[in-house]
Amino acid sequence: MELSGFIQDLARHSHTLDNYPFACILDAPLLDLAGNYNIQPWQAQVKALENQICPERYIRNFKTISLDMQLDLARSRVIVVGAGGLGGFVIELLVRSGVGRMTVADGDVFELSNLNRQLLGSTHLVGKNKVEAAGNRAKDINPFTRVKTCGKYLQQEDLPGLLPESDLVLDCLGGVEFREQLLQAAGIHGCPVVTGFVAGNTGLASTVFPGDRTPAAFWQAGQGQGAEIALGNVACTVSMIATLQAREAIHILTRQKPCLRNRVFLADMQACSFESLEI
Amino acid sequence: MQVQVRCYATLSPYSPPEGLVEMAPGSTPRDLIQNLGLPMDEVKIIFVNGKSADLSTPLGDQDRVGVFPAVGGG
Repeated sequence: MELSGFIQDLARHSHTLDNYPFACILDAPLLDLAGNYNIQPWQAQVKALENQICPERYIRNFKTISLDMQLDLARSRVIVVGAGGLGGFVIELLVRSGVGRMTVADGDVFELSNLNRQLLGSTHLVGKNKVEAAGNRAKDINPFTRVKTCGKYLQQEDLPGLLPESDLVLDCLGGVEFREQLLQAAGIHGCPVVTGFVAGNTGLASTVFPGDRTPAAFWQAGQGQGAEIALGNVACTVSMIATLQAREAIHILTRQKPCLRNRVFLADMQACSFESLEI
Repeated sequence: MQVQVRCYATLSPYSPPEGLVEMAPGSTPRDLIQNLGLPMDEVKIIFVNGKSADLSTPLGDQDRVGVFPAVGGG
């Protein structure tokens, strides 16, 4: 790919902002340049950041997320398994933060009873695919995130094709089923997992790198026997845990120390108390 | 001795009043579960003082115990 002209054009279309120690570029010229040079928007974003040019949409991340960390996010590839309650918020936060490539897998369609908590759902989307809503939402929020969708419930045999091209798995599944298989398969492929699981006012999240202790004891139940079946799931618990998952994901992708390895974060939304437990 | 207990999710109705239980010295989480009438097959993981513990770990005075069922919603 001949990109020397691209980099000169980038510099020409960038501008400085007071109080920021790097140049910025607006969305429209960066997208135009990607088109002119026949590269994908996420690749154009990586090139801009490599050349110390920040897409202006991220400037409020600075200094919490440095330009180097923003580049780490732009280069990163994540898979979000489940586009329901947890997944909807996780996708929102990671796309806004500037993750470069994301695969979203879910075989479900929206039901009216999802709308109490699922960010991607809305009245007019009842009966529609969740992954399609995820793709559309991501496109609306950030054209520099490339989102691939997989409109099925993942099975064991799907994982070897997906995990090697992911830096991180976000386990946003609904129900106890398949969580441990996903964790094991990710371990085999050397892929860390950030998992979240909730029921009523109780929310939990954990980060598992290959070889770590896992929270799988929470999932030792038959199909449909998790506490969420009896208690349901509510927006505040779901969004709280999804936020923790996204925070861990950003730390891992930007090579900072995650907080929830060999631990489980417990949000007791009844007592408004939060604790990090050792597993 | 006195133990602080909190049961979560579907088990929360078994949390004792004020979160406190009187137990004989040397009691274990298994004794505690029986004392509270918790359904043993629904208890999946227990934490004592913020650390995952097994059913036979001896408890001490003022230990904090958290009791969880299976949780998998998303």
